[in-house]
Amino acid sequence: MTRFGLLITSNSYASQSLASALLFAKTAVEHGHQIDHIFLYQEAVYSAAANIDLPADEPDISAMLASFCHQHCIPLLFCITAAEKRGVVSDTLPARKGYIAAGLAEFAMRQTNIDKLVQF
Amino acid sequence: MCNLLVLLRYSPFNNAQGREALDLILALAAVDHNVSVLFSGDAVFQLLPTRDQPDFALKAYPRSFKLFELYDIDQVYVCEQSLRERGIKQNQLVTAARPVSANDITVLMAEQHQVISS
Repeated sequence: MTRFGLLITSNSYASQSLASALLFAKTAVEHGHQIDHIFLYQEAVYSAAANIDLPADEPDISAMLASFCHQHCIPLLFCITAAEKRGVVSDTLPARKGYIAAGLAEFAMRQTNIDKLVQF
Repeated sequence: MCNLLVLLRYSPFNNAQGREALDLILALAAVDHNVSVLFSGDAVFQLLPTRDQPDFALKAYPRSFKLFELYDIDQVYVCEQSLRERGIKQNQLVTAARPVSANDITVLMAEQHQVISS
């Protein structure tokens, strides 16, 4: 059993990173590994936006990721500073359901809990 | 405590990758990880004196590299080959970084628990 941490930094809408991270996480869990956390930083914080409005024929991967993490009790964290700078969240604009605001310090501390960090 | 390498790959002029990498580096060092920093590819431009460029439109965050010392980050490296390819001399760098060869980088990476790229 390996304990993984996932760090997502690429743009979550404009790239395949989120889909790849979700596929990796699902496969890891299916094979009996553990995901300690998923942390969104840099361009990936756009996933935490509550107002994402996609056409009906586009998959909502950030919702799928949130539901997967909820189901498996995996903390789905996003960097609050990076999100605020991009206008993704604010005092009056909460994050998307399932996404938890965190600081870089939390990400730093969680590195001691894991065997491998995988970045997307 | 983990051995963590932050690998910087982008120029400071085009995006916030370097700026946000700096925040990450300091956060990792603040919780007592053994942090190493490697500037490679276009990231070597981050080591040049951007503070003196009045037309540098983004935040001139490289001046904050002086915080490395305060956070006890003394393993700061620069890829020798990246410098050579861009015609940059070691004495032009305003942030002190130890030049490393491709072989040194292989050894450095093998010593790490995790590598984070930005």
